[in-house]
Amino acid sequence: MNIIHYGGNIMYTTYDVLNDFFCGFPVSEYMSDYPRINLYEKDNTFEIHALLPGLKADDVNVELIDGSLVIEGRRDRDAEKNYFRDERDFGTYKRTFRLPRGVNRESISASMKDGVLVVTLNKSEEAKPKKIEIQ
Amino acid sequence: MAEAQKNTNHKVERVIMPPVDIYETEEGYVVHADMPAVDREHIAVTLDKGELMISGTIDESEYNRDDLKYSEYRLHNYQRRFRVGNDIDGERISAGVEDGVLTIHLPKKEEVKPRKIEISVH
Repeated sequence: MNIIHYGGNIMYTTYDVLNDFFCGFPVSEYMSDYPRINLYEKDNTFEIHALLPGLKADDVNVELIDGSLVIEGRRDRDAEKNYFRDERDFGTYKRTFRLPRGVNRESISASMKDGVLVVTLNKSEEAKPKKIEIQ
Repeated sequence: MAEAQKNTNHKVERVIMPPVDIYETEEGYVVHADMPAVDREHIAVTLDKGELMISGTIDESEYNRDDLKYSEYRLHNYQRRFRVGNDIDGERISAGVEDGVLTIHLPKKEEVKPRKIEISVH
């Protein structure tokens, strides 16, 4: 997609930023460009949004494997057709994110709407912002 | 990312050109356009003077929010135009949206469809 063109080094960008963001844990070796993600942080939650046009909830796997969140999906082009433009992306989508300690692993939820996957991660109690009373 | 434009009086609208697949069948042409985050109510397809225009409206405030901590994509309104040939029957164009993918069927006019001519045997 021509939303933002990163050239070839999106891997490093993703690696650096997520690595940094998630408390310096190493991210999985396997990283691909797709799906493209946005990360939002609220007081009590993180949200990962991933663009997966054409995929239904059944086509996408969101798994927690050994402390890592794995988003995986697949979309195939109908090869039989007589294409004269083929600009869309097909194939396997896979992204892996190492989750930090501050995420509650028991309460991860995901939803899919209009080709956008939203994974909601709740922060654990100790990671939520706390107001300190001034005596 | 709109910072550079804040000081100008005329607002430049950013649009995304959705990637498309187009193929031809005996019946007509089929267009698939990836337009994630847009639902049926926010997509418009128009044909005017031989130009097919696809547009999709995004609520930018919903996606390009303040709590965005890391970003690999931005969502803006979608727009793309194509010229279509005289062989399209503009009255019968149909379109649908599913899972962020717009599909448009552009049927060919009856007179340009391939027709099998029966060879009569005498």
